Amino acid sequence: MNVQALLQHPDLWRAGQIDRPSSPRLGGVKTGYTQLDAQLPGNGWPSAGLMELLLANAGIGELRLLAPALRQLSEDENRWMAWINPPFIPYAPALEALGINLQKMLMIHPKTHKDTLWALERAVKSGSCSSLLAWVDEKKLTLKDTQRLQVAAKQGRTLTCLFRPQHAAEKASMAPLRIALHAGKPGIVQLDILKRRGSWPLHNLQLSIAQVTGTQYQSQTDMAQQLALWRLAKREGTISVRSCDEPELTLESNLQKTHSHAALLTH
Amino acid sequence: MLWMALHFPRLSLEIFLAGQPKTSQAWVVLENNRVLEQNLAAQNCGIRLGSTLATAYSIHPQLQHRHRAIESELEQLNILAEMLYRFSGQVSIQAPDCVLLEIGGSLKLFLGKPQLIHEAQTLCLSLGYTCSIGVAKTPWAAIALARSQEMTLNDVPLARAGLELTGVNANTVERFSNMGIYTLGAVLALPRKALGRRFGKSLQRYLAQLVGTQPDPREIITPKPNFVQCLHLLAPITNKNVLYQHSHSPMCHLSQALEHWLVTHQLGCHQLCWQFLSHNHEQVEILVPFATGRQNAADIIRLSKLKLEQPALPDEIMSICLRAEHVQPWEGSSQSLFKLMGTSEAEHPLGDLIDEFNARLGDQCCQNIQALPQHIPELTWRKQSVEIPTKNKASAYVEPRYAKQLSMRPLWLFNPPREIQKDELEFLQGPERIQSHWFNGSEICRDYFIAQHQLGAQCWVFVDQKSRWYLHGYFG
Repeated sequence: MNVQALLQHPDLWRAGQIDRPSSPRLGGVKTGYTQLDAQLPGNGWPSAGLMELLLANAGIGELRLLAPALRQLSEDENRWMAWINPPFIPYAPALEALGINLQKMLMIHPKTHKDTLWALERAVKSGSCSSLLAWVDEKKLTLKDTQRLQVAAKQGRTLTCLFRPQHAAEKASMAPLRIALHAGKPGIVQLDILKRRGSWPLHNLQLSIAQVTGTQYQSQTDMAQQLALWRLAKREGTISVRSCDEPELTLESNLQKTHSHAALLTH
Repeated sequence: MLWMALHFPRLSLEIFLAGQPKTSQAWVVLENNRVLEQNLAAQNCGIRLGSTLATAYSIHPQLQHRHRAIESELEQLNILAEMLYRFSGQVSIQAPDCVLLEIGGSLKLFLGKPQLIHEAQTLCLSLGYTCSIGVAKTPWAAIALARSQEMTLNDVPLARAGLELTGVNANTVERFSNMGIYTLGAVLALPRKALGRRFGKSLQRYLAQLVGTQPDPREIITPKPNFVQCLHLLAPITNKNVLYQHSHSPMCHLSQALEHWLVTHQLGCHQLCWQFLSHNHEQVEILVPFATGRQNAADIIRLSKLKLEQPALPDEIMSICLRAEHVQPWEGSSQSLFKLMGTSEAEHPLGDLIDEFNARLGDQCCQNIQALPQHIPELTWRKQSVEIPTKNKASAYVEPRYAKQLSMRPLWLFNPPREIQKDELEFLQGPERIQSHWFNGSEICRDYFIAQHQLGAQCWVFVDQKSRWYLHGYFG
């Protein structure tokens, strides 16, 4: 084996590659965000391996960040997308609107922590899940568990994503990819890549999730003003109702009432 | 026509020992208080067939014995015949110890006679029964051949077969032996008409059927439409592991029988039921559901094992019953000719994972969600038990009905909505009024807003008619 061949070996990592952490061997799942793809080894989420998303609190765009990849993976006919212990209800119409095939979604709610870990490992190892999103009891999760999961995820070729709270960043983990998410301006999420293979950590990457997932707001006018206007209209409506000695009715019901009056009159 | 006869020489003993955990105890079966059949351990002790029970006990005091149970022998013979139904459509029983199969039509499918014989023998052995097999042009000849092979002499020519092993009744056999005639060949050499005059019509008919000059119609069994099989243990089992650990364990034995039954009937099992009974009639039933039809005994055992981990079984299990509850026509799966590297569908059927989860975590732990065409947000989704797309009910991906227009719906939903303080929110978009159910009196009228919470989460909030604010979802 000559030197050139050795240099091509995927296990060999050279400091020169530091700014483009891409290696042809790790064919990742496209994240759907070109900015992010460029920063991840394999140009995408690890298609086989564990990753962690660390969130301060839920609802800051964590699912929309994964949505393009999930949409892509849900096209796989023969594999599930497992969700273990989701904290809230994944809202079906919104997921459908993002193009995710609901028939491929499998929600699993184990009762105990032990069962959760068992289900995680089983789902990942079985090879019949293309992706797995899991929410685990943080107090009971140990370094050893993450190691087992990482090994299993590699074996089963599953994109495995653990959602953990922000403070878990201080705990060691065997996941080769750890990303902290922060809420930015509406429609934008800030990423800190805490750990990635083949490169240094990266801070403050801004992604416009609303644009990519098609969930941007139609109007960004001054909401407070709009609300005030609406309030005003409502109050007027109720005042007009009060004159009819029905003080608790709102604008909407009042409208209905006038409609029904009109209907009666036409009869 | 080609007939295959399976003779079960040790049936009287094996009905007691098949499926039991392995034992080194000496066992004998008695008829008229004399030893009719014995196992290897008893034979090694020096007990002879035909000796009295008292003699046998004096030789080996720890001996275990049972009296011959002719009814259960016949019952077992029926079960065996049903298992053998997979090799031929014409299976009949010749009491007390033979099963007959017409194999002329099956030779091509099972790749020839030797292969078929081998398969039938392995099948019986896996169920715990030894058999000897004879193949001939007529049923009686096949039976005579099969029975004469029990002397460990293989390939006995029909002419050398002993008379006592054929279908001739005992009286006639004795009269023949008084005449110095011991084999079928010798009888066949005698003039047929004279024999008929001396020994009656029955012998004449038997000989004619044996050589094939007279037809020999047989009653064909019809397989039972459902599977129930019980195993009564000789010694109580207290340790769960003994139930399923080895390939000879009772549960493995029963699931093996179920597999054979399912293959025979071209069925897949969707739910089965294990029943464990103790001395004092304490009974535990365990249902094992499968997401897809199953046939394989190893799968059945693996999933039943997971299910058995939780519930308490009786302390001393005396009998085990296995019942197939829901069966459906078997759906074979085809594999791709050029299998690509790595995982493929054949390796990891979708149902496997579901079955394992259901068995270990409980029935309702795996769920799908489904979108419904409703107006009120909490009614637009539904949890449902997982459905596995199969070939018969192929589930084509349905284009979502409300694509695009619902881009402003949150990915996380709270059910029920949580109360929230308005001061914590910064409004981004709205209002959107959702009003419904005015027709049945429980009117819902809400104004939805998209807002950002102080902590950074994007919320879907609404205000109801009483101006209370609720958080209904997160834009995750």
